Amino acid sequence: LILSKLADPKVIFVSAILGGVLGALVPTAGLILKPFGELYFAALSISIVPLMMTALVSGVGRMLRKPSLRETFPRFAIVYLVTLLVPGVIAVVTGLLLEPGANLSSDALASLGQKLSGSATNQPASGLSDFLIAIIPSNIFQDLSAENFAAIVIFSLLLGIGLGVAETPATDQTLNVMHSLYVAFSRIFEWVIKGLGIGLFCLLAGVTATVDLTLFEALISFIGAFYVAGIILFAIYAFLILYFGRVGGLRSLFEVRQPLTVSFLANNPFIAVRPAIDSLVNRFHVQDDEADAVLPFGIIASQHGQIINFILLTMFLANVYGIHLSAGEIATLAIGGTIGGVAVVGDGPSLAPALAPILGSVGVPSDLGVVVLAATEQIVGPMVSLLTVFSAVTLVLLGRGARATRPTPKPSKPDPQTGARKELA
Amino acid sequence: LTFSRLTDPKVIFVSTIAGGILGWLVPSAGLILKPFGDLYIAALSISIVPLMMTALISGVGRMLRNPTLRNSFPRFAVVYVATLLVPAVIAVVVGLLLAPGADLGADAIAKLGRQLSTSASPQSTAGLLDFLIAIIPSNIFRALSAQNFAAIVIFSLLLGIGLGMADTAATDDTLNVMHSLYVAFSRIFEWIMKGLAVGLFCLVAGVTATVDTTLFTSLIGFIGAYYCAGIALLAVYTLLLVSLRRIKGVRSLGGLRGPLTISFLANNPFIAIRPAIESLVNRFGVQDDEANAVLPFGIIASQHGQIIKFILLTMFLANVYGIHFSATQVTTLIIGSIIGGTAVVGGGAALAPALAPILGSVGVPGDLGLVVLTATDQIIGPMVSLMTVFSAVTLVLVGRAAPASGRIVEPTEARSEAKS
Repeated sequence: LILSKLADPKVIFVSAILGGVLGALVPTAGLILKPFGELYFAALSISIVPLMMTALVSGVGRMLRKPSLRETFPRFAIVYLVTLLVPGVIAVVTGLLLEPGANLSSDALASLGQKLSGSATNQPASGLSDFLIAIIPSNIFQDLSAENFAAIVIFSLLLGIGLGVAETPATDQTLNVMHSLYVAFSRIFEWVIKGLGIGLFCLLAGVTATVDLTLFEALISFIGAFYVAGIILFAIYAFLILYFGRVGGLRSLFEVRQPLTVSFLANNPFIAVRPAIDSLVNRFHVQDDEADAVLPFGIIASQHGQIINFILLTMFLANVYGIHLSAGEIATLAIGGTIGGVAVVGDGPSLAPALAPILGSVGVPSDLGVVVLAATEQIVGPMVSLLTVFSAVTLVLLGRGARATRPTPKPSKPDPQTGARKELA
Repeated sequence: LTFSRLTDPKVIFVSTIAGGILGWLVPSAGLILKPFGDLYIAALSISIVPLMMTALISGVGRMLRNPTLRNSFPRFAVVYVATLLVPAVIAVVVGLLLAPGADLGADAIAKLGRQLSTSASPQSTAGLLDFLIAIIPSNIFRALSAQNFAAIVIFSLLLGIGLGMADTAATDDTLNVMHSLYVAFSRIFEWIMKGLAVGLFCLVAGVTATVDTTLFTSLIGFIGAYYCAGIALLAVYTLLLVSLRRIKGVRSLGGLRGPLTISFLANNPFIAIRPAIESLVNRFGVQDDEANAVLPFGIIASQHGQIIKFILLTMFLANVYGIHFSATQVTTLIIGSIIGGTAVVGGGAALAPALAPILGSVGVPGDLGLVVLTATDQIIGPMVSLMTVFSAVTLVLVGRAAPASGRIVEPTEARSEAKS
């Protein structure tokens, strides 16, 4: 009973807020709790990589072996490419309207400059070819060990496609074995996620106890602009889902609140893979294999929050340096931000190598980029994670097969258990 | 014919002794042979990690899908926790009776001090939380790459339980695939084991040619106390097995001489996983899946020899420094060593981070700990490995479901039953 209460989204939310307040008020308690939060997230990570791999391989493979599902592949590709344009446009419009770095006070500029002199040295800029080489799984075992998610997804997609088109007597069995492993990893994930309320309490207490607030004031306009753009993107996708996604009324969107809450509070979209698949299958009646194949891909390759982050950050820095961007430069920025941000790996300062070429393409000095990335990671990161999960959910709901296996359901009572997924016939 | 002779435990033992004598008498020959011994152990390691993983996954998964075997899980848990106290109590009693380190001569103390000044700087101390984070398989592929055995065992146990409880059409197939892989890795292991006599000849020649004996005399009290406690532990477990009618008599333990000899001579308990499972199934009539599930877990998590080592080493150092322990400190030492030692990873100097918090908890300076760990690794390590294997075997034999008829299975009978 206690465990099922702990897994209730409301309890999770309240305990996360309580942890955050405790860390802010009593930093020493936050510092004591921090390692326990890290311990919990280490445990939660046990099944994330194997879960994502087995979901993709079995999902794509089984999709390709079902003629009805195979036909949905081109539609997913079109939805994926079309929705890529949305965050770029929103970010540019928001940046032009709000001009986040245009009217910074001299105090704010001074604190940015001070941070710049004390910041870690810049990482070397990497071009598009370096990025492509990094995400090609030339050694899958190295990528698995280094948690190179983009490379793992590409490898799993290729293996799933290979198995889907392979004609050997044991191909179906191989895919079923993959599916059994996926179910086993899901079980492990379900056991661990029952402690999410406690884990987030400890983690957020540690975060608020250690967060660097000195730069917060100088960057408040950038953070504000990012959240405005994020909320607009969220609203547009919610509208698209309601209009084209065959999900019922506005209330049905609440059915994705658990994966969204989890990804936001934990500042990690990968943790929401399994809850999001559950919601899609149980609440929106997406077919098992479709959800298993497309959602993990979307979590990696539809990072629409990062696109907004990159574009707005570039426009913020251009404002700070008093650089005026021409229409051509804005178009370059929108394209560069989309390509560089959509499947980027890492967060905070580790994004600097991916950001540098974008800043360089429109002539903005990159020194401050790493400072802003590091300073805003704890505040911008959760929204980036939430937008990534919502973009992936949008991709699945807009691209899924036209004929539903059963009528669109009325939103049922929220199920506090994440593991209540029913096997589809 | 030559191969079958080479795998005879007597031949293995004799060739190891011969290698040791050669390395001691002709160190240059030992130094030449050492790389060949290392090469052999590297080859032997090829299938150890995959063997352990597949044994655990298929063993636990199939156990959970078998209603009879599923019931024995709680019994194994009780036996595991209860037996953890045995090595700790033995070590404390031996430490109090023999008081190693209490009467060290001035020469011995001087040697220890000199070694301390030249030893590598101690590694940073790791607390309980760091230890827990290190053994959680947050990325199993990294754990596999780094041979983080504790993390691999936890992951394999979880996957085995997950598969055991998964309701898909292909779960049994998946477990059978795992079992087939386990059998394949076992074959690879068996082929390479045929060269064990030659490999150990080279390895031990290298060890005796390079072993540091300068500290031996000053640490002889500690080493002696350790072997006394180890032998006492073996005796207690043998008594337990006989009194619970898990084995017919002391002589039937001869069925374990293969895995025990190998783990002792190679100073590595993991190498004995496959031979120990074979002995349990063929000689003691343990069910395949029970042995496959519990023995590899025991090899990682029942390192009773390490518990004894941590406690006796702490008591030895306390005696050297003239520190007297209160009853509370002894209790702290017992609990700390059980938690810190039973599933520790590494040997020799690599154990220092795990030992440091135990020494710290009872107020013993940690500097000399690293010196003693390094200096005694080649002499104490083999006994630690042997005790780990024996503790794991005891866990399986005490915790397993009793034979249906309640009688003890004769070795020959068990073999024919297993074959059928």
